[in-house]
Amino acid sequence: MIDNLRTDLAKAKNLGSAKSGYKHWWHQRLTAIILVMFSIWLLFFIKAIAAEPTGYISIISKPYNFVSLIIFSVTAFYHSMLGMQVIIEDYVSRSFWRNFLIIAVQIFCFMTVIALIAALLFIVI
Amino acid sequence: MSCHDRCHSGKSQNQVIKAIGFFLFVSVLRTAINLFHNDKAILKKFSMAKTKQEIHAARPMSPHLTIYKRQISSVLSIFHRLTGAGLFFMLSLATWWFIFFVFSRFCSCYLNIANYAIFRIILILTSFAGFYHLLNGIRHLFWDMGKGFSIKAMNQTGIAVVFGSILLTLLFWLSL
Repeated sequence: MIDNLRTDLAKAKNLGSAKSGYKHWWHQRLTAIILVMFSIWLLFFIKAIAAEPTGYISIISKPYNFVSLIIFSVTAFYHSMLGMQVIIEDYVSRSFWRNFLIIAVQIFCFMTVIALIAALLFIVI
Repeated sequence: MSCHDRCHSGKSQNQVIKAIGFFLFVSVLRTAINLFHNDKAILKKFSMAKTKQEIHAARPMSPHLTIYKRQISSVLSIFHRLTGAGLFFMLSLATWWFIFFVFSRFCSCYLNIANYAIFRIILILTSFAGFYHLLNGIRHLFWDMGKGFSIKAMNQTGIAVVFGSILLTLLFWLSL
């Protein structure tokens, strides 16, 4: 008598129907901590831009601003990608649209981050 | 063809943006009012119902949002999600605005949005959402460490988060 229909591979991986483990939750928290730290930098960055709007190129070109901007935007998009996945999983019940929207958000986030880095390099170089 | 031939901000464009802003403002206001004052409307609907079918129609529907008693914790949780989704939207919008601005060789038409009053209102709302999400996120991180789970602490930190985010928004905009 078979009392458990799970395959040996599924038992070894120990993942349920979500097909992923604690990684999603843990990455959400890690990116949250990074964003909390970099939000202080962001406030000063916005203040610097607002104080001298015409000198935005020289402000962005400063190494710490440039690196912080890339770290902040990549982390923010990753954090919001994970967050939007949770929202979509909660409110979209049809499995086709749920998967479609999750993948669409992920592709959108990757595209946006790559285009942003290209634009920043365009400014700095 | 120069940059200014392609894009110009006419009067009609300004009016359309004003109308959209007014619609957004009214819908946000209506949502806020509905969130806190819809008990009376439901009671009225119940008292007006006479036939069996009307009573059946007036009954609250699952997931019982219409008769759900709102606590500080649940409303703040909903707003955490709402501000999160809003910040994702605004972040994408700002990022693509920046990308188009850079790759249009710094066309000044992208700077025209600063002339609209609705732009500043959206910025203030976004900054409030950002501060709220930040402070409530810190609260979430403390919960993940197993701290602040008592009802008293949860209510106190919740109220502190709301007033703290309003205060931070005011301080930020006054210090600019």
